Amino acid sequence: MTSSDTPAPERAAAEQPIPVFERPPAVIRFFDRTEEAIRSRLAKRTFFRRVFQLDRDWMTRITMLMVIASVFWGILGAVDIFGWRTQVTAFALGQPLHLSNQEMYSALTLHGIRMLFGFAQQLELALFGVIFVTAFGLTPRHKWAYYLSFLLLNLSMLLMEGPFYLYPIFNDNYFPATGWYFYSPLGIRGLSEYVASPLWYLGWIALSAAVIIWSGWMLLHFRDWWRSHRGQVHRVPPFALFVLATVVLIPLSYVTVLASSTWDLFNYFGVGPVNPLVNQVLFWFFGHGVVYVLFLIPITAFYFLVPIFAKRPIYSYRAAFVAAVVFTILTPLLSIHHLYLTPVPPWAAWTTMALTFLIVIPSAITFFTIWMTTKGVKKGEWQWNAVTLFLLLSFAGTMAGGLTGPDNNTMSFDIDLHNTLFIVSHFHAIALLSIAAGGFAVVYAAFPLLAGRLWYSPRLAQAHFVSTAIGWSGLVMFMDLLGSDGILRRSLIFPLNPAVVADQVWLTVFVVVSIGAQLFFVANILLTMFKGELLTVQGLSLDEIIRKMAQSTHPKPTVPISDVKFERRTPRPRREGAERTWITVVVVLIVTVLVATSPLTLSDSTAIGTPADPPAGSEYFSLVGHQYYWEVHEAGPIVGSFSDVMVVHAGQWVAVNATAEGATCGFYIPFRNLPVVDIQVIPDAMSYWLFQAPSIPGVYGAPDSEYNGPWFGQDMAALVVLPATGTASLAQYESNGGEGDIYNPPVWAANGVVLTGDDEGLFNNSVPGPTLTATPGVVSFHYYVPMSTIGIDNYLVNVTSTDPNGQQEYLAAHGDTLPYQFGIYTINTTGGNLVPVAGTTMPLKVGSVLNETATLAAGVYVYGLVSPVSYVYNPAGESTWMTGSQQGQIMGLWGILWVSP
Amino acid sequence: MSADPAPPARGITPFVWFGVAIAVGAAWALFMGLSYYNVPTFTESALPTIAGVAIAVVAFLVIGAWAPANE
Repeated sequence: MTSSDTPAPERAAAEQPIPVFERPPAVIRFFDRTEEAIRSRLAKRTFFRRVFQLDRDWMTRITMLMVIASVFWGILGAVDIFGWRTQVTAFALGQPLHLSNQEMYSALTLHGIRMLFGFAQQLELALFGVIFVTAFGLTPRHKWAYYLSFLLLNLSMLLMEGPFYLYPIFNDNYFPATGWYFYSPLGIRGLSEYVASPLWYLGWIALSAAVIIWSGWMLLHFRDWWRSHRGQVHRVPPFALFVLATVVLIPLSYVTVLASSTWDLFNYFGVGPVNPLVNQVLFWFFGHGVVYVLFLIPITAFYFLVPIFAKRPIYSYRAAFVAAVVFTILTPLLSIHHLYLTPVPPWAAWTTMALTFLIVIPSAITFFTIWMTTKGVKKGEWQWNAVTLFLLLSFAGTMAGGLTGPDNNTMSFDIDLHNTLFIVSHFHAIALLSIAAGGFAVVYAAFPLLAGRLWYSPRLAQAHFVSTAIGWSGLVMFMDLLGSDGILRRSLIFPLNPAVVADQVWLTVFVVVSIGAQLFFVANILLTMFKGELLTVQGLSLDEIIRKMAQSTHPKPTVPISDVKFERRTPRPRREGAERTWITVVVVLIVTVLVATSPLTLSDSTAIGTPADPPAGSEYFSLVGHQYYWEVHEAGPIVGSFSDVMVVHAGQWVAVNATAEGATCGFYIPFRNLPVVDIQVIPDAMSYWLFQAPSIPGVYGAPDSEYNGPWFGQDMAALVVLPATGTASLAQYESNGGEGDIYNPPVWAANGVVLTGDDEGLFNNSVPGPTLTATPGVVSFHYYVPMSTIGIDNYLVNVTSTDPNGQQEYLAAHGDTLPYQFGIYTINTTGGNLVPVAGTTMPLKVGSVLNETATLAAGVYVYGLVSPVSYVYNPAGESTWMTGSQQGQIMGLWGILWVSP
Repeated sequence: MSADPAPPARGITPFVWFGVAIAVGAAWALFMGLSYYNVPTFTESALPTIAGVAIAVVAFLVIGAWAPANE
């Protein structure tokens, strides 16, 4: 960056006499006095003085508080994901689980909340604020507005965490298991079986208020700068364009979550109605926008730092300007691309798809412009320190994450990807490899300015970079491998096939590496604050100061930090000509891809929102998604009503119409040899789909693809494909790999097998349980629900108390017997539903190996508990409107028995 | 901090390293998309987008190599 791009910092006097008529209100003076009293006392202790920078100006002090708070939430977010991964790994390896479902899913929710908002958003506000004020040489004003923003933001994190009990026993089962993004009406009292505390919604409102106040504060200061420099500068520095984009996009994005949260809160107290689909659309204006707001961290880092280290101005200012403007205009318009599989109007889906493709343009401009800024820089003029290395990682990470964005955005392709770990991989490629890497570049470039000291250890900085790059790349890769297999996001329960188990374990390993890597960073931060060399900036320009700070992360710096005189030799028309050529190519490609994918997009979107006109002989599924099972009503050649069982003949067309009660669900069958079935099912709306059942008889797994509460993992149905006529064995099904549906339950020979219950109330970590096969005649198998699997979180024993042994005590008092009938049931396809086989039904007994024996004809049967088990969590009456509550109808101990010659 | 040392002038430039970063990141993104090749609708639903991304990456690198330096 040349000195002409950025105004030199001005050192305004921190404390000046204030005329009486400009004295602040009494309340502000009271706050000032109180703050000063606290500051002066704490400043006497070195630890507090150094950590909180108590001998510095108020802007530095608040910024330091924000940085510390963001690191705090980041650490908690890391603990959250570590907790979740330990349980996922335990499930994968068949080990006992130590957290309740509520705790596990809350950990996942809070991981997202704390990382995105407590950590990343807060760090963004802190860094953008201080860089903006420093680079523009401003005297910061309105201290208490800035404090208020800080306090509200961190208060929102506490509110969203929800209540927990310390007495009579510690109980944190009321953490919000809702998802960092809304699945309206999940969590709303009276509408959802799972109810979050109203603090959750108040937290969103507080967060919105916090960042909108910050934006207003920034706009006021930008106005200050503009007024004081009117006529002196002819353009805003390129990086500041993107800071301004952030300032504009934050209120535009957060106002929608403010609206949807307020709407939810009203509904929580019975003032409605809520329209779940409209509410979700409203939320996603925020949900999409906020990720792009965070994406402006690396973008701003590139525009700010690359010219500084290249010691030359940006390649094309006009291109950067266009990118900032287009980015700001398009970002608030893209909500619906998260809702392609809901019954939104096809025109809305197509328009959003087109707009989303268009937002590639500002990114394309940015990355071309930044890359070209480095063209002409010789090796010896560029230092690979922690700042530039993280910029490089962010550059690669943005490519890896950003270029999968068009895949998600292609509606017809989204059917294959939606709600799988592919999405989570894409998101983390952006969140970690792009956003966080760019954020670390800025932190390494700016933190010494806050601490007043140069980085203590270049080796720690290098170790941080290398281990972080390895950890993040690994976790993104294994998330993707799982996602491309069809494994769902947010689900503790997944098929234990060897590849999935291995990928889950590796994913945990890389999560641990990623967390461990940050210890190098935290150690360097602490050492820098207490042992770092004092930063001296006399006589240095801002660019030189930043290079000096960055150089302290390199063990043997070789590149001078001094500014060099830059004389432009390549004229602007030639540079802009290259930019235009590139953008023309991008536009042509976007139009081409849009034209190529539009027909399927429009037909798929129409199919979700419009009743199908199926061929004669089709089966009609009327589905109602509950928390946590599918109520199935069938008409056509097969007539019947079932729970979680869907029955068709091989090759039959199936017309689905589906709605939900309580929370949004997803009807998902991740075939690989056949087209994937994946639609979102929303309360108060109807979703449709038409698909052809596999031609090979068998039992196909159909998990609920949309998270809808703490028992979401158990919410898996079976598509039972009967032979078109007569009987068929499962040999072809097994050799074919069950059409590639990874959620198909394993196939076991029935005779002699012992089905064993697990901590999640499933047989052998599978739902549906293993598909048992037998030949006609006497069929005999055992089942066993160990006493050790019964605990506070096993839905089977519906006793919740503050006594940790309450469930076992209930069993002891009832002869270890539960009031649910285990049995073998015939599937009557002519309206008889499930008919118990005589002599097979018996109450479920815990802690004993029980035997089922029956003489069965060829056919398909359902075994186990074939009706949902009601679950209510209310230990000692602790579930209230204030704490939240959970209940539901859960099916886990069941499976298909396939009898064929 | 010691006085500014004299920089070496030869070697791989940051422009090349950033180009490599683009190629590696883009290759990963394409691999992620192509991992769905076994879904029957892949050619119709996904391939146009993936091909578009691939062409864009190649064009990006070619135009970048051809474009005048930032001098």
